[in-house]
Amino acid sequence: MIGNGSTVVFQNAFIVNDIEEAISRWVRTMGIGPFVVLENISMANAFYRGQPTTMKLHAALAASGDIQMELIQPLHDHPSVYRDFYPTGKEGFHHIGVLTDDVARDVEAYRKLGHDVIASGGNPDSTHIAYVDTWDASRCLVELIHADDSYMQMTRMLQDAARSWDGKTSTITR
Amino acid sequence: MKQHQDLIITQNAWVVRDLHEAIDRFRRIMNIGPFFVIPKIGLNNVQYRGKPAELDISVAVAFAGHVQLELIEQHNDGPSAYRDAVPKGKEGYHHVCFYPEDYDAELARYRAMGYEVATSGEVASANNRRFCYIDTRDALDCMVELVDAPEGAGVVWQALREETDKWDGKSDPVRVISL
Repeated sequence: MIGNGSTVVFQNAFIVNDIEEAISRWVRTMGIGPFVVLENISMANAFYRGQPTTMKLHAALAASGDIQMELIQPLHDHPSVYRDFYPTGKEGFHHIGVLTDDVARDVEAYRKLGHDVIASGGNPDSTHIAYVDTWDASRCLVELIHADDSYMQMTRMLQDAARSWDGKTSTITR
Repeated sequence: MKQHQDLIITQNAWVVRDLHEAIDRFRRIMNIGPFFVIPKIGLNNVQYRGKPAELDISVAVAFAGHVQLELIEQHNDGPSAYRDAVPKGKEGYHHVCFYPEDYDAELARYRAMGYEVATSGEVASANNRRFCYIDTRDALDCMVELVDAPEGAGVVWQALREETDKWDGKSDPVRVISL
């Protein structure tokens, strides 16, 4: 939560070109997994710089202790919260995710600091999220994630899967 | 079941131009603290890609939940894991850090895959605890740091963790410590 000095960094997210190939790189090199892959997802009720937008993507999630690794393959070339920083073909670190119980309140707190929202919407479980433009300050964005029941349920599932992982199986289904 | 320690990311680290200015920025956008500044950290046996090297750095750490954020300023101009990824005058996300149960085995695993150690060294005040940065940028778009402390990051950083848990969110937000 922003505003009480106790922000919890929960997620590290990278933009990648090919989700399957990237998963195999992360599993092999860093040795973390297993990943859950969310294919062809669209952000519900998506806004980009104040205007309604659409954007499709593949996402993959895995737990590394209390950090969640997210790999995102945008399936679009048009300007978006992903493509603004990594044009088609480029890969790199994109955002840290922060859990909050109130996205709107934290968005307002960031706005007062001069950091506006680039994009907002709902993930496939309709968890409310917003990307705040902190790029100049930290070379990455901050994603505010509403820590609702469905999101935390998926988080626990990933953490359980990581604890009992065989070290080989790269992807599992939800 | 406890997750194997080798698989737990304990730290996110950025290379910055000016440590104190960057602390102000990160305090503002992350709203975390206190930041613990370790000026001119004493290092022994520093190597860059296998050859002896100078490395003059100051670092600052703070906790954001279970994960530690680290900001690093390199003062000298020599080559390093930091400069390889973030040229002088630039800033950027640099590495994740692991405290493997078997440092040498984990390092050997990376080497067997063809990844080179960019910078390695020992923290003088911590009984010459070994650390290294593996250049995994091709695979992961960041480097991986390994620290030779099988007791784990939780034990190594326990005192600062406790100070963080006690913090009132206001007083003395930037503290210089020695390590």
